[in-house]
Amino acid sequence: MEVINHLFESETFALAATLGLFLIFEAIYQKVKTPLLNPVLMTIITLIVILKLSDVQYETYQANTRMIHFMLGPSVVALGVLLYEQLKTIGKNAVAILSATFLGSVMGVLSVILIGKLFGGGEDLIISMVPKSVTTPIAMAVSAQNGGIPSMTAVFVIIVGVLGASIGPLIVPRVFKTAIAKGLAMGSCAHGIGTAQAIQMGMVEGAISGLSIGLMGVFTTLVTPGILALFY
Amino acid sequence: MIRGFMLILAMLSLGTFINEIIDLPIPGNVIGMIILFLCLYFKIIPYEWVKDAAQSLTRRMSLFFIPAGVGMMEYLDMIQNNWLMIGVTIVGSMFAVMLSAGFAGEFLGKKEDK
Repeated sequence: MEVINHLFESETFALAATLGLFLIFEAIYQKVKTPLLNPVLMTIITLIVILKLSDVQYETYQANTRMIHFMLGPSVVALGVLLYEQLKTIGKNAVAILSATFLGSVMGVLSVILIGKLFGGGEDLIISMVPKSVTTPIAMAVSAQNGGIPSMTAVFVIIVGVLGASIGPLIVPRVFKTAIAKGLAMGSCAHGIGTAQAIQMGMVEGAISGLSIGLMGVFTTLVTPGILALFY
Repeated sequence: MIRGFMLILAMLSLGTFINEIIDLPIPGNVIGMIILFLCLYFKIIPYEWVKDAAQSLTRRMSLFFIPAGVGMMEYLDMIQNNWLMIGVTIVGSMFAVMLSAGFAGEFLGKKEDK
């Protein structure tokens, strides 16, 4: 264990270990295809176990994987290109898509605050859960901007994604008839992980689900400060 | 590809700058995303210039949040002490979002088709 502790002191090892574990779990996921074995979730859990067992501080790991974390910012900006690509194909249903994602983001923020308060959740914990249906880089930024704990938000985003991707396919096709509604339901509640499942339902579902990721991000960013101000 | 990355980083800096000077509650990266989208929409930046860089950044996007997710190790006690509240809130809110967005899409999408 001391050897591992020493290895994690080096930036190259921390980076290689993170990428390597991700690749391994991605390969396993490709074979078994159950949303519960989500590669990101598995990599995070494994890394936490390794770091805890070998007594590595999170600060050390965080500093040495700064390069990976840095890529979050540019990747959010790059979503603008996806938004542009998909807007060309889905322009016809723009009103439905915009209204549904707006409603989804308001409901998402409101329901977290109401249920969380009902069950006695503390302010910082509730705010960290508020952007949970939004893609991680945006969710973390919304969390930081409104007084939440960004790394906790990242965890909630993954949990809700895995849940939505595993429960969604059992419910969504039974409740909704149109491809638009199915795509909106999946993408709004479970962002990228839900979109991977929406693609299995059909190309239209997949494209609309992908578009919802970006729109949920924008709307949640816009409505969160206002809704929070009503309660805190 | 380098041109694409340069433009994306430039949009990110611009977004961060705007966030700092106007003190907006919208994160700089989201502002950058919106500006890039508008530049593409109004043909200020040709789509071909940013296509490849954007694809390589978004295709494996989930990888980038692993370091932040590992940060959960600092909050294991907090999660353990609040697991019921966290569980009920996340599941309840997930259904609220799934159903509200789905029904809005079903209702308004149909009307559009007519």
